[in-house]
Amino acid sequence: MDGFPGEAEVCREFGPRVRAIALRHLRDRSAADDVVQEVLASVVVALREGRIERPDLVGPYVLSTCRRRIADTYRSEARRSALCEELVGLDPTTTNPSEDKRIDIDRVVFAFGPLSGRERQIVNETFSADRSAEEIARAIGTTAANVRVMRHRALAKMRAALGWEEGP
Amino acid sequence: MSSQACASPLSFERFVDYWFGDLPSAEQESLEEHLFVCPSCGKNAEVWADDLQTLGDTASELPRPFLTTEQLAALGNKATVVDVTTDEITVHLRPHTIHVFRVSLDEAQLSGLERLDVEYLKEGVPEPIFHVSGVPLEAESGQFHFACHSHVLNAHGDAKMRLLGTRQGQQFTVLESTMHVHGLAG
Repeated sequence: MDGFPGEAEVCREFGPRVRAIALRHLRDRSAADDVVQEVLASVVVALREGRIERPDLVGPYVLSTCRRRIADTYRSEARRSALCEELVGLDPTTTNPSEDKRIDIDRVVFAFGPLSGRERQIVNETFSADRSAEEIARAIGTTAANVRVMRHRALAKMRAALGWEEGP
Repeated sequence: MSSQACASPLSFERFVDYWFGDLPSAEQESLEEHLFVCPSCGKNAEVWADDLQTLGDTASELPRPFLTTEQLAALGNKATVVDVTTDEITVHLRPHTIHVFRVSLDEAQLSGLERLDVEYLKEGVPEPIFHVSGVPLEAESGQFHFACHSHVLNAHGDAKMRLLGTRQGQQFTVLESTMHVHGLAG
């Protein structure tokens, strides 16, 4: 196992990254945490069984495992939604909200302060209405590229207002 | 897994495009692959993902300024109701009062309406002071109640409220009303 990272190092190094990718696809912290646990367990087993040929293939192996697990989550969510639709009055999108969604709304309201009206609109449409840049662009009469630029600017202003540092 | 400087570091802007699905799928895949071989970009992505998730969680839970009929009734005389019925309306502000703009849409306006947004505009300012997407219309009455505190209206002075409807994917102006605000003393 020369050159291979230890199991703890793999978890420390790749766990947060798997979480980032899972959040991007699932937009749900608790589902993302489940993905992290299952991916890391699977990678550790693969390392123990010598199924990863070289140390430089550990990262790609983690990613491919992560993608498979996310795809599984989508599939099981689709099955769950279909089942819920059969049960009158059960809305699968509103059950069991994540505990992690306890956030300081006042701080985010404050972070909206430096934004222009158009930037606020774009942030609202993006997060609350889950609209794509193309849809927002059509609604406000501009180009999708312009919406993306305004969105970058708005989110950077919000991060600055919240005192969130740039990445390390 | 040592951290080395990246030859083509991932920018926040590109990560935002990735986050919102605005990258072509091949680019999205190659970005993800990069994150798993480049520790420094991977670390940045971890921080940005958490920031964007937090902003998304919070922004979608922000209180919205709409009141149901029951909520309006519960406010009693703490609220001053202003019916938005004509092109020009006059608003007499009372201190420390919630002013509630009541808008009623008729059948023709409601027909085929997929979505309704409201904007508050000020003359000479190119962008809306605020824009709220997806106004919750009360199905029975075709009404909504939009609440604004007197000190906010006082700060902005005369302004325009514009309702934007979406029908068959096309946005159009449903109603536009100029508000003449008689301000608070002092």
